Amino acid sequence: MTQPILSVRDLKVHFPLRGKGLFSSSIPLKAVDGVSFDLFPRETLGIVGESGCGKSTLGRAILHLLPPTSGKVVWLGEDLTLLPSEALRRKRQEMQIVFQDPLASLDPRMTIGDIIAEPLRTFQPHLTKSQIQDRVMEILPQVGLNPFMRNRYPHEFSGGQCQRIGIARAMILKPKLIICDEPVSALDVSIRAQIVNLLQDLQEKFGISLIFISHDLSIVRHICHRIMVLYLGRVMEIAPAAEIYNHPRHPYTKALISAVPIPDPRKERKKQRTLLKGDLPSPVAPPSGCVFRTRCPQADARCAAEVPILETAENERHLVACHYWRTT
Amino acid sequence: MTDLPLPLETEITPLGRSLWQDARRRLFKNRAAVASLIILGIILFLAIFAPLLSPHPYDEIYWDRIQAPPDFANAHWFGTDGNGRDLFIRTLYGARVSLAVGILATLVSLLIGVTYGAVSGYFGGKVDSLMMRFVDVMYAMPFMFFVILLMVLFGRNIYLIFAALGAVEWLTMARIVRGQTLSVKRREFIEAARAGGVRTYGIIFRHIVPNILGPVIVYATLTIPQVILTESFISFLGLGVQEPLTSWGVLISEGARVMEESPWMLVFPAIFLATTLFCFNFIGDGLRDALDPKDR
Amino acid sequence: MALLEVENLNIRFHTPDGEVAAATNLSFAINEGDSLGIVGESGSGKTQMFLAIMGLLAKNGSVTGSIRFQGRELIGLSRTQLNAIRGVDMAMIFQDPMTSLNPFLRVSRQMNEILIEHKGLSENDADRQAIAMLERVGIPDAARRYRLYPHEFSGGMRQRVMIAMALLCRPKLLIADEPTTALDVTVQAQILELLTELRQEVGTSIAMITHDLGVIAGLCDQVMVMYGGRVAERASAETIFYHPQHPYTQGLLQSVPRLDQKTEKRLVAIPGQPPNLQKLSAGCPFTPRCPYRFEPCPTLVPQLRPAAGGGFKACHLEALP
Repeated sequence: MTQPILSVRDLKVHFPLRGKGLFSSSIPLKAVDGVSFDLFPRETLGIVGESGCGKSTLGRAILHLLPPTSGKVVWLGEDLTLLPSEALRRKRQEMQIVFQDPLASLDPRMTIGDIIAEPLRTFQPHLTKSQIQDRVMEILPQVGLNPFMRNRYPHEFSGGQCQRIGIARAMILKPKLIICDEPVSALDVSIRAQIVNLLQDLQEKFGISLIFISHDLSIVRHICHRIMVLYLGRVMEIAPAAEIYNHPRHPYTKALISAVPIPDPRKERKKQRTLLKGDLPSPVAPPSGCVFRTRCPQADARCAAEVPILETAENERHLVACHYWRTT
Repeated sequence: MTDLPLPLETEITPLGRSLWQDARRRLFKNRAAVASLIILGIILFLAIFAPLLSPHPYDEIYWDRIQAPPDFANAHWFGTDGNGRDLFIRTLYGARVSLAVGILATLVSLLIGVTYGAVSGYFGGKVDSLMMRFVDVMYAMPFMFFVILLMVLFGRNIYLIFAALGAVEWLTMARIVRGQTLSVKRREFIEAARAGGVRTYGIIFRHIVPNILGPVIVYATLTIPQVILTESFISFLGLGVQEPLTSWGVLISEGARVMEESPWMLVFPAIFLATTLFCFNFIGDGLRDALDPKDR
Repeated sequence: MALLEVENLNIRFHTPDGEVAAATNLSFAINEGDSLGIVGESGSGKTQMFLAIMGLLAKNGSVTGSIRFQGRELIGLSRTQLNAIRGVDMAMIFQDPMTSLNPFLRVSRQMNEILIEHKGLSENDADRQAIAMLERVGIPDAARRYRLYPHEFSGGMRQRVMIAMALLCRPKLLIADEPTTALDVTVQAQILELLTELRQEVGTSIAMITHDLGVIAGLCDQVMVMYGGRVAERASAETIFYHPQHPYTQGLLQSVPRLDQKTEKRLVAIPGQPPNLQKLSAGCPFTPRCPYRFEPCPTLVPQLRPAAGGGFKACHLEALP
């Protein structure tokens, strides 16, 4: 039984918003409200959900780019939430992130060689200039870029190439975890497959774990081993990728799957769609009990009164948070 | 990697085209700015090589040619002043002082203002509030009194003038830099730097400052003429540099008094001052267009 | 007579860095009742094409060719003449409803202004029709929401408001430019459902611009694939999805992961990147990325010609291997 490299327990990220009136206390915006999961070595975990589900906030909270409000983030046996800031900073060598907007995540005033080398300079200051250059020249072809482009500037590259640069920067310290926050959403469709393939190849070659955050269920199904479905900051369902699609247990997961358009006219037009009613509730005032109940076709009084716990459904790798998962 | 395009052709230039190079190209297309740079260059040249350009020392008094009009026979291209000193060489020495004060005071304000503003903007919250309130308080103080006070207490020392002017100009610079920092620090590459473990010092000075330099340079270029003008004003009031050193302000002050009998004493320094101010302003405008943020 | 006929449309932009050929030699037609899907990525020219049709091109753009709406030539019409058609017979909805709606005006004002202006209705009548349309597009409590400002609506609601505004004058052609790209997938499903219903009810022809092949599969009968400012392939949805004739179409279909299929380990990616419209080389724009390129491709531009399956393709190949 392999040990997880990352264990998140009951993670909460609340943002205090000022209440109305001069003396009222602040109301929290519950972006992430009690998320727990494990991540194993060499595994890709997908985090899916729509706007307001907290997936990006979750990714940043794991890396402590945003301070968690409560909960535990246990990385290789150490709880990151308890570490002093310098120790936490040193941990960053092991956990990296790739951002959604490829160009914006690169400093426009630096050459891409310097951008990629920066983590090296930060954590291995003893390296000489030529050693650093060697490492940069070594990693550029591994992400599919010409090493002689290292003196160019970010704006001279296309979106897909910028994303490769971002990946090279994330990889240069050989981390154990890379969080990919919507890494292909801003890219052209014909480029997405290239980047997805690149991430998969790097994972196989270097044995890294990936957390792949996206709203695009099709890509997530393709690249991820397990998928976690979030809604309003809480986990609705976690299961292996094939099971999420073939045997979804949570009504939200089912609605999500049926809503994804399939590039196949015959299938798409025959599809039975479960349309959700209503709008996403505000994270400032989430519904009581199960947060999904306001849009759930099967909600009843119990759903308003009790928060469903994340429990195993059928097998221990498939967890659902719904009172009625058995009957659906 | 099979995802790479099958190579048809690619021109590989080893050095990239940085944003500064793009800006420089745009600047050189601006004719007013280029003309101003040339003129300013000429004035600088004249100021630096002043002693070589005239046979007369700047403090030599010619008793027989007091307040004389321009006289090419004796190489008094601009005539002489009320004390019989050659006006041409004094105008050039005035250029030295005015330009030095302008540029150095601006540099001082730049150094203090950028550091202060970047730190305040980056840390935000209470630190920022405190630091900016201090700036607000300083703003409220009357500058003139401050300078006069310094001059009275410590004498009319040229270094003191640098310091005094720099100490006032940094306030606006700090505000501008803080504003720019606030917007830059939200950009994703700053978050990327934090995720990469870069320390605060590194983020501020390696990432934020280079990305706010655009507006800062523009503002600095427009501060120089302001400082020169202020120094001229102080000199005009009689509080400027000590004799026999002179600045354009001093010369204009003297020239204004005898404007009717000896117009050359006013006209020549005034032309230099006005031209220099125009040049800096055109260059500043040109820089602003060249460094336009929409192209970043 | 076709509803919209485009012939040899060329769009050029004059920028300080040179000329950009946004679209070259575009020809197609939309008939009454059609639903045409336009697929393309950045630089394909798909958005610029419809901006040109609506007369909304930027000032530095120039258009040549012919655009005929219900037989009437649109290029060269004055603003007043165009305004009689835009919003009335031909309407467009955009990707980001927040920037297409005026944040300073209430929705009521933005909506009734269309009816008052184009149909000469009184304010009361205009309000009544507008509220009815808001209800039809599925906005609950329409009468109250009618008085709100755009920022008080959620993203999906705002897009519905946009659709309602576009449909107020019962246009014959609705152009939708990536209308659901910025929306959540569940909201997208609702909007697409709405568009299908409205199409059946009102009989509006739809031109749907998107990069999402799934959306096209669900909504469109005809598909036009664009690349590098040109039409690569134009055919029925059946043909495009099951028997694509152009290498780019085939490449796209292979590179997009499908939720209903567990594909092999790697996606089949199209190598390289979309073309730079300022530096378009001679020949077929897809050449650098085409796995089947051969001798004529880099130098000779392929013209649109009939292909198997009843459609048209711009490719030198006789058939895809």
